[in-house]
Amino acid sequence: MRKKVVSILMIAVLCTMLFSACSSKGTSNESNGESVVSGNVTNETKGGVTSETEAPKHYEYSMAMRNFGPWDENPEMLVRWEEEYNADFNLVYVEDAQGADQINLMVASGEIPDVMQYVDMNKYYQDGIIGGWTEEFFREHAPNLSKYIDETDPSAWQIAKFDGELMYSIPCFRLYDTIATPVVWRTDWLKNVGIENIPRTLDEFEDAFYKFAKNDPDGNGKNDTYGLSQTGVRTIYGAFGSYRGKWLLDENGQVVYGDVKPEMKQALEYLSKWYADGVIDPEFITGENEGGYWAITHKFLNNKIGYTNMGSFYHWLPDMSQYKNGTAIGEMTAQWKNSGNTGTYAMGYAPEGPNGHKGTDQADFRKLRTVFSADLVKDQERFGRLLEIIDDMNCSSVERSVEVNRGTIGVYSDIIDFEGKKAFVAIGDAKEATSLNAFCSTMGAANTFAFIEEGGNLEYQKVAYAQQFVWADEEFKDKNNGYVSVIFKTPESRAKYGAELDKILNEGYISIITGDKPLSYFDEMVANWYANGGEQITKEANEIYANEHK
Amino acid sequence: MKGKRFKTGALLNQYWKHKELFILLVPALVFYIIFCYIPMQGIVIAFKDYKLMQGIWGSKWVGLANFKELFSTPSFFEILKNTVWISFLRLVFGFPAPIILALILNEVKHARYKKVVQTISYLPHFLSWVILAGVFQQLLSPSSGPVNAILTKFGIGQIYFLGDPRWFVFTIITTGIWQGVGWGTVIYLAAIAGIDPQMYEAVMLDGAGRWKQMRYITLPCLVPTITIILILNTGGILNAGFDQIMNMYNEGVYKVGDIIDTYVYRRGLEGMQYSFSTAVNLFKNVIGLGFVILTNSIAKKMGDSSLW
Repeated sequence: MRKKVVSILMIAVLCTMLFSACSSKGTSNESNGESVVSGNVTNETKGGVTSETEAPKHYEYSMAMRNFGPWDENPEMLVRWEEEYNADFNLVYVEDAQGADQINLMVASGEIPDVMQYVDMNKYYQDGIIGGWTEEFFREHAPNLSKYIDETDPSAWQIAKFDGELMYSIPCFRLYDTIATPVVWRTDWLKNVGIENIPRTLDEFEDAFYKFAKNDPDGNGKNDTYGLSQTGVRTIYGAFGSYRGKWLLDENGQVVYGDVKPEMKQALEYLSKWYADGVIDPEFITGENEGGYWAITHKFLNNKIGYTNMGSFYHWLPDMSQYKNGTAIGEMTAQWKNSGNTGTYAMGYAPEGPNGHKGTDQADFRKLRTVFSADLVKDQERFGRLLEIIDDMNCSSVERSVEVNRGTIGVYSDIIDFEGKKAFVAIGDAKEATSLNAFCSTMGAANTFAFIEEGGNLEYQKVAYAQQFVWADEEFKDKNNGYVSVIFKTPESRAKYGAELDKILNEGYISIITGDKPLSYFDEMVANWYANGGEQITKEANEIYANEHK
Repeated sequence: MKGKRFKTGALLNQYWKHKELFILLVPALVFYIIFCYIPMQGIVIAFKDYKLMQGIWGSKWVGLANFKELFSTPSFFEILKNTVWISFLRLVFGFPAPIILALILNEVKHARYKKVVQTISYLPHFLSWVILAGVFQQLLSPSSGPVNAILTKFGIGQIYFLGDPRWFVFTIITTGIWQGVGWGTVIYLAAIAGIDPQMYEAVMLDGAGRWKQMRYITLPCLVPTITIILILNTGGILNAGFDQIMNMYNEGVYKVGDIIDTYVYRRGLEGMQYSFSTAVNLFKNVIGLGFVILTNSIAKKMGDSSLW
């Protein structure tokens, strides 16, 4: 009797398997074998998930997604989404640290996942591993995402078009990168040396730095303090209208590498003078961090310097437990508290130079996160359906994004009020977990279905990081000046010349600041840079700029 | 002619007699064939423009282009010079260090004390350079590190060990010796333990003290081991210690501290340059092999211990 039941069950299972295999086979045969997808098919699958009359076809997708750790046997959220979207998501686990290598290996052995993250997109595009589709096709299958991109920054469409025509990834945005890296002052030091207001102009900065170095701001009777160190130094370039490591426009509208812009010479003049006068920490070469978490500045923490540009704004997030429902605290703030340092500090302004230039480092908030195998994209219906799923999962509503990233609302997550703003909060088991990201990962949340940056739009990210932005929106209102590269893509021959060029610049900048080489060496360095491949990358950068601004 | 054939026959006979031993050898052979020799065909990508989709054999041949690219790198001679110089110093100062320590340890008669010293000297070997670099950065800091505090007390003044090109190589070599010296003694102590005690007894009868025992018994008995290790070490002449330098160097000391591996690493961060990095490694290994052959033949001429 029992045997019979089992065998009937087996037959049933086999039948379903056959059935599903057939249906997916059937659709892939229909595809016309072109890698270019035009947007006039798949009317029947349109309409989405909840439509009862025309259930969407069942498809299978293999996905190598970024995650914070391995998944459970049958991840809870995965099961839920498979049911809701009538699809099979075969998660391919890749280790975070070797993600790109592991996927390269899969590709080399011919097993290309349908959905890929981590990888060198440009290389994959050139090698024909990933597929491209038209904007029209995307707009049809991902209306929410399209609206999101249109409303946030339409220039992002172009960065996803690697050949200028077809899209190879989904443009998306990262809210964290809308705020430039912060500059931070020791306010008690400023007071001790007789400066009332936080410095704004370069002259005021210089004054404060000299007093920090010479007037014993910490009052310990020893000459053991400096104005600034490694991260402080880089903010000074911004005052002259350029920034190290960024592609910027010159006055003729040409793209130029920030390091070789002539304005830099003026900045170096200041810096080498400060170094000679003992204002810059002589150990600025080895940096402000002495091991451990990268965004901690030990020099600042241990009263060696009074000004820094370390980390991102959220590392300096104050202890939010002072507010109702508040829990977050920035890593640097936490370190400061633990160290028992009784000094005070405050966020400041980027130094404003003689010509009104100012700004600190800022990353491009436009992102590309996911690419799709050429085979998948070729299969218009299967790919179109995936875009619909992505559109719904990552961009239909804040609630959906919360569930995708943080687990089912009411079980693992909730949306509450924080200082008048909607805020995500972990509840139940998720609240007890030592690491929320790791916990969410195991059940198929966290980044498992984050096809776009943070797995949600900017509105969702405001909710997910409500505590950070309740503080930052107010604090950085008038302090948010950043230098962002004008090109998104990296020039291709950087792979060949990059190491050499960076070496020329890094060595050159340090030897000019420390006085090993005279200021006039700057011109020689720039010439050297152009001669050793800089010419070529600058040319490519201008081509990229033209392509990205079509 | 006839004699030789006879000899071969005898050899085969010998082999047959000990066939069980050969069967024991088989798994090791299979392991090396599958995991070392078969993958070695991948070396050909050094002569190709390797593309993932086309595979190792499908990719286009480019001849020596990857090597040309390496040799025409403007920094090539600087990084080659740095690599060889650091390796050379490591051989001169780092190679004898464990031998000396092993000889000293051998003279310690208090067994417990000896074990404590051994354990302490092994410990650094198990710490990764990522951690040690952070430790040294703090220890050697001119402003806050204890080492410089002591130097200043003695009136020597502050030395920026990790940021000053004049001191960087010194720092690398010394910290490298400190990290590896204990571990390096293991093989020498084992060799010393294998020396026949009768020899010591004999020389003691002749009235030799501790110093002469070391000079005339221990050291000569160690020579074969030392030679083998030295030959093997010269093979790594172009490996100047990537882990250590990667974690300890900075832009300020590129001039003296940037070695082939660190340069290629920085370069390889972008754009999946499999062919280029294979070419670099092949170059390094060919040079290394050359050095092994050279030192081996010198060792053969000078004495009777050599690799082959």
